[in-house]
Amino acid sequence: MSRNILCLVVDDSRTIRHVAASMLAALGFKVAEAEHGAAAVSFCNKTVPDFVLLDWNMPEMDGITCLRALRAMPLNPRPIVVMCTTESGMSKIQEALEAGADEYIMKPYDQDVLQDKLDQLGLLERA
Amino acid sequence: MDDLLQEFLAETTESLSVLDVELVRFERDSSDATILSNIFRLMHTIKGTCGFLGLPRLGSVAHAGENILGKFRDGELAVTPLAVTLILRAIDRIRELLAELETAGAEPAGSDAELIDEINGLAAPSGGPAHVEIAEAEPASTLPNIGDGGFPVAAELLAEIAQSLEPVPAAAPAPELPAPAAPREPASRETAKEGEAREAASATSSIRVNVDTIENLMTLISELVLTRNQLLQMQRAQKENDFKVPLQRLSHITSDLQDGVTRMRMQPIGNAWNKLPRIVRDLAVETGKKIELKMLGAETELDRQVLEMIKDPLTHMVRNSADHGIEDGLKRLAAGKPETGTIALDAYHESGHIFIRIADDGRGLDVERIRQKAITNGLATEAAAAAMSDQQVLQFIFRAGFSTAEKVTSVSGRGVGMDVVRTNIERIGGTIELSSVAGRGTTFLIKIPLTLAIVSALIVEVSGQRFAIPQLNVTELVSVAERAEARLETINSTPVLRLRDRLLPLISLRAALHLQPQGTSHDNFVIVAQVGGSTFGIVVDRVFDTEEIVVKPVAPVLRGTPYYVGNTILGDGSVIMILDPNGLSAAAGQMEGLDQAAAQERSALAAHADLASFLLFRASGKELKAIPLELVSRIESLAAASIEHVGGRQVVQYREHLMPLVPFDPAHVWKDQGHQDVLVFSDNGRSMGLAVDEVVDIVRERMAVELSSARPGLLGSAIIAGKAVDVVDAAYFLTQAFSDWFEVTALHAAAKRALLVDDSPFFRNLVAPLLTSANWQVTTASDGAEALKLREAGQNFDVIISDIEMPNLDGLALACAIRNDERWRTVPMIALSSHTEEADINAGREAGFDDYLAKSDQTRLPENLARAMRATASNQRRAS
Amino acid sequence: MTMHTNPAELAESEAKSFVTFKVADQLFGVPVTEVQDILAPDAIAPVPGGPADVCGLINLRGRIVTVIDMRTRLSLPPQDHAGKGMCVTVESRGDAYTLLVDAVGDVITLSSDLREGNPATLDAVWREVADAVYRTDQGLLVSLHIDRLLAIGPKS
Repeated sequence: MSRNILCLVVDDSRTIRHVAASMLAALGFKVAEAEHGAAAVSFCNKTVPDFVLLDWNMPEMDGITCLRALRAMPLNPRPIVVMCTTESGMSKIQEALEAGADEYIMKPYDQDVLQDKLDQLGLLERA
Repeated sequence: MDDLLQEFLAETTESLSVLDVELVRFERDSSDATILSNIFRLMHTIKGTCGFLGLPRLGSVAHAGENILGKFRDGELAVTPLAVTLILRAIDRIRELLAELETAGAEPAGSDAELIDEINGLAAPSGGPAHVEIAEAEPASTLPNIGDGGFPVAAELLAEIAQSLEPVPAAAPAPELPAPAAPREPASRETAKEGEAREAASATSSIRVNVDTIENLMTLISELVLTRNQLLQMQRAQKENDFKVPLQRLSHITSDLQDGVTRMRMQPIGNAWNKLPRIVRDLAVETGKKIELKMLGAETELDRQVLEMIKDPLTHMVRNSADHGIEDGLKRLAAGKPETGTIALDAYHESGHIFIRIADDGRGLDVERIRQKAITNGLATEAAAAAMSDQQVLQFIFRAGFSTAEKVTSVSGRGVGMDVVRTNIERIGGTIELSSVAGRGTTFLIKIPLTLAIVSALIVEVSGQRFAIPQLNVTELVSVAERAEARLETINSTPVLRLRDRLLPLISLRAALHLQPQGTSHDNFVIVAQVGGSTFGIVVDRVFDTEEIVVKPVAPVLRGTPYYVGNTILGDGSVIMILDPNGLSAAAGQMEGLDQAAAQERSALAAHADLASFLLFRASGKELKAIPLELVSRIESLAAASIEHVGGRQVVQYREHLMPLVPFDPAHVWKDQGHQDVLVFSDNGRSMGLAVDEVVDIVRERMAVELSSARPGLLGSAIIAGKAVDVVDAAYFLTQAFSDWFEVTALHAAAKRALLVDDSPFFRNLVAPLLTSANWQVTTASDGAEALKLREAGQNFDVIISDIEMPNLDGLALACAIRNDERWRTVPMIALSSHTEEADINAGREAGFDDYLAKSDQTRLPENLARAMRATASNQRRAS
Repeated sequence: MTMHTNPAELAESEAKSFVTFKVADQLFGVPVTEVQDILAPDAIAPVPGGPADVCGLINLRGRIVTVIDMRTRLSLPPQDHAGKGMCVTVESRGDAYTLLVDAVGDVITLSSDLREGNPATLDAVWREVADAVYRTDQGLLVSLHIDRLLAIGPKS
């Protein structure tokens, strides 16, 4: 089934964007991609996504800075932001949640893990 | 899933290249936090991506590297050469694993524990675990062979294609449920979102295209170009038709397409350079020297194929510089140089070529050592070597097997000499020069053509075999008469072609290729070629069309043959060799002595200022005939079928009126098929065509008409291109077509009468029509005496135009006589002469001429005359 | 005619399959895996000034392929092929070549125990380009090493 929910995948790796996009598409979401924080902000200035999957380490503007920027923008409805992290980034998660992230997900994740996370966030119930 | 792996390989390979370069930069300036965070991020991303694709080996190695970089960043570990070397080794290992992955479709079995331990040994003394486990994602099922990773392409070119491509895989077909998708948002928002999705995705300014795709596209475009040319040729043979406009449009589009695809193949030369910082760095570490590599102009773009071919030569030269050129630190300091040696690469575009300079400030080449080596290698005798200049001696390093390195280091390797470098560069039509100063350094300058994909080439034939000559090298194509003496002459027993004011040395293509003459018709054409500063002619039997050809490099086994720069397949499927005028010119040798003779000739000719353009043609016989070009309004090739025969005369529909055709020879047999070449004369809205057999050439020659001839239609002869050629009497044919050609102006009441005095009938016939076309009624006299006779006969004129040099009574005397007599005293007089020195002009004025014009300026004669007349008239009014 | 041992039996010992051809009555072979195709030569464009071993170039489906005159290359008496002969197309170091031979025979499979190594009596040129010599019921077969065969200098 196709959901009318737009997800923005933000990651500097093409390959990872590709993987995440496939997973989200399999769940019926519409997907857009941005290769760094600045591109994500730029995108959100024109279109408000429902959900943002945000990586941490990126050129131009990294994840945490992007998150702060997004939360400072009057985006309506407020997008759900999930930060990606690796085990060495666990300590930063507190910082991310305080900056406005709704959830976090450990890289690498697979289809099931992602699905669970989206379910937790209530995105799977939306049509 | 294989798409994914391909993407991973491409992306990671690129990251590794950047890592190489950045790491070396970072090592040089370890305080630069930006570079460090960049490097860290790259390694981190590689590690992360490996996790997603289930590549544990790769992930572990990347993790180890990331660890060290993290410690650098946190200041926990000093940036030592050892540390950097270990990270570089990790990068190399990753590369190796990637290569395996690409061919086998899976990570090779094995462990990198040793390397990882070494790396981690640097890190925390509290020995961490041998390697860190990365959570395994689902392993991909079957990973088939992956092709080449492709390379980035500027999006401007492919903007339209990108739009039609699906940039976001996620937006791909998920089967839609019918009817109640229950759209919560209005439809407009939907499309807006999708549009935005696409836009965001193509925010990156380039896309990757597989190399094979580009190659296929190039081949198709080549075919298109060839077909376009065929169509154009077919269309040219027709007259006006419906195809002309759309075909022109097609032609423009094809050219643009060709340009676009050619540009797609352009890559920045930096791509060939990106491995060099690492190579130089490793070399420096291994030899204990300090070397800095500077690269300027990395963004200079060149064709992919060319890039491939110069990659290795460049690498080799840089290696050589680093290994043999740059001295070690102490030696440099002792020589007063900075401790760190510099190798500088500089690339730029100029006049259709790419220049690449490789310069080092090392010890320079040892000329004496090279000289000795040349002698010991038997490349030159002692005497000859002693006589050579330093520059000449340096050229020996380009000879095979020549290496003066004391020992073959593992770094530069054995067997790859400068001869291979030069061969590779020359293979693509480039050149390499070298200069060196002992103690100061060595510089190489490479010059290569921008593209080698499709070129225009002239197809020629000699001894029954066809060859192609790149149009770029061809300045002119000259048809040479079949008669042996025609224009091929010999000077000092060297065959030359006298071409206008030049003497051209000639090379017989047949002789150069050691072929036997075939058939009876040979040596009919000379291709005038230019190589460097010298011009020469290549003699061939036949010339076909110019074709666009795709240059393919010759097979390695043929590379030693100096005559060919490549080979190609023509439209008809035949394989032909592409000639290298460079190579042929070298074979010609003996250009030196000839040029002196040529120079003398040239200066002699330059003394004569009067040059006129003549059209050379054949009509009724094989001898060449000439007519002043100014008289001819057009050269046409009319379809014989369109010529109508009416009342014993011939006419043809020409530009909305009926044009009479006059044959050169009254016994001319008119063809009923094929084409008839015609010289068209026009005047006052009327045209006539002079039927000729063949238009041969247009030359610029001194005006030196010799005899007047008794034959109708001919004025006499002139020396044109060193040979006596019949000069045609245009007036004769004009009056044949329209008996009243020169009388038309009698109808005009206001027609002015001009008296033209000149002893040259040729010149009279040259000027008269010009005056007539400007509405003058022209009477001619052949010298001053005849002119005065006309005065006695009571004739009156509105202007007298006279030559100066004439027998019986010259122009000056005539002018005096006229000014001293009542009857014509006030008639404006204009002198026409070939002598235009100030002294001449003064003499003319004093004799009574009102104005003085140069003979060579015939075409401006009517307006000059008019101007002169007006001036004279107003002068007269003022005087009276 | 051909020498076949049961492929199953060959599983143990190394067996190789060869495309065989004759040049001046001598039997040669190249590994079948190296042969791209076999064709009758048509319109060979000569290369004046090129090495003697190269009789010219042909157009093979849009690719320019160098034709090697095997008689010259193997120092065998020359013969004017004049439209006869066959071409065996192989690849070496990224370039395509086709070998002009007198006639092409069958593909045969030979087990390694028929191999004889390189007898010292082989002609010097042959020793350089030969990989091994096999005993077959048609006589000795010289198997050729493609890369060495095509390592032709600029002027031979």
